[in-house]
Amino acid sequence: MNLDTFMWILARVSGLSASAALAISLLTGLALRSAVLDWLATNRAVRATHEFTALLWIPLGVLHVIFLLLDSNVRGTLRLIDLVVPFQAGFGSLALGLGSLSLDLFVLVAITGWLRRRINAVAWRWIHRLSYVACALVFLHALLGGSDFSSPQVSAITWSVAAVLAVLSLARVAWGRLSAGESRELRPEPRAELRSEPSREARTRR
Amino acid sequence: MRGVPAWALKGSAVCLTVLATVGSTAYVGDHVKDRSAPLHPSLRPETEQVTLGPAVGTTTSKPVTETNVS
Repeated sequence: MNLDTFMWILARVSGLSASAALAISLLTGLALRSAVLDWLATNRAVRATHEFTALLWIPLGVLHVIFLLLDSNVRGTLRLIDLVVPFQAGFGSLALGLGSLSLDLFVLVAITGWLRRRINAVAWRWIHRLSYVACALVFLHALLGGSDFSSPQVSAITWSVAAVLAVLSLARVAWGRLSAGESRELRPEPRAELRSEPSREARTRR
Repeated sequence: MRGVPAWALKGSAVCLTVLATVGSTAYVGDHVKDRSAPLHPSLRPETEQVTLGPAVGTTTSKPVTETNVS
């Protein structure tokens, strides 16, 4: 196996791993607003996980691009500018362009995420919503250009995850954010012995 | 119910990502070259058409043999 083949393998592996981490990030992000993981954990824990997943998918996504550029076969036809400016590549311009566009959007979302406290809340929210578009573009990029999408093993997992996330995203768009009251109604009622137990705050007050 | 703590959720996210990495490494390792891969330049079908033509042509150089005419 030569170096180019090795880089090609690493690019594919990092791309698939980045997609998995991105799916977790999207799921936790959706859960924050739709209470879909309310049965599992508090919103605070889900938020912490959502922020943490950026440390997983961003490096993997960067590695995907770096490994591609280290493959001399790809480097010969893909320029650095093609990573930023979409639909200009000499081959596979649609598939690669969708990847470039999603990269641009993710960079924007990541930077504004770190600068959240310095940005107007409404502007930040609208910019952050672009991550839904970016995820859809990543899926199309993988569908049109992914080397492993033709295999049933990979495509079954990817299509299933994408379908779940699409349904949750559409539900989020259709019904908006569940209020705290609705979220509580969805939770199971606490058992009688737990209900009678005084809360930690009450015990502290005593 | 206090639910699953944040560290456990983060650990699960890391585990799932590592699992995806290991799984994809195993799969890609077994399928290094995929003919149906749409983007890899070295696997793309050749776009240049080969034109076939006559391989033997006439020359302008002096002949090295001669034919006797009786």
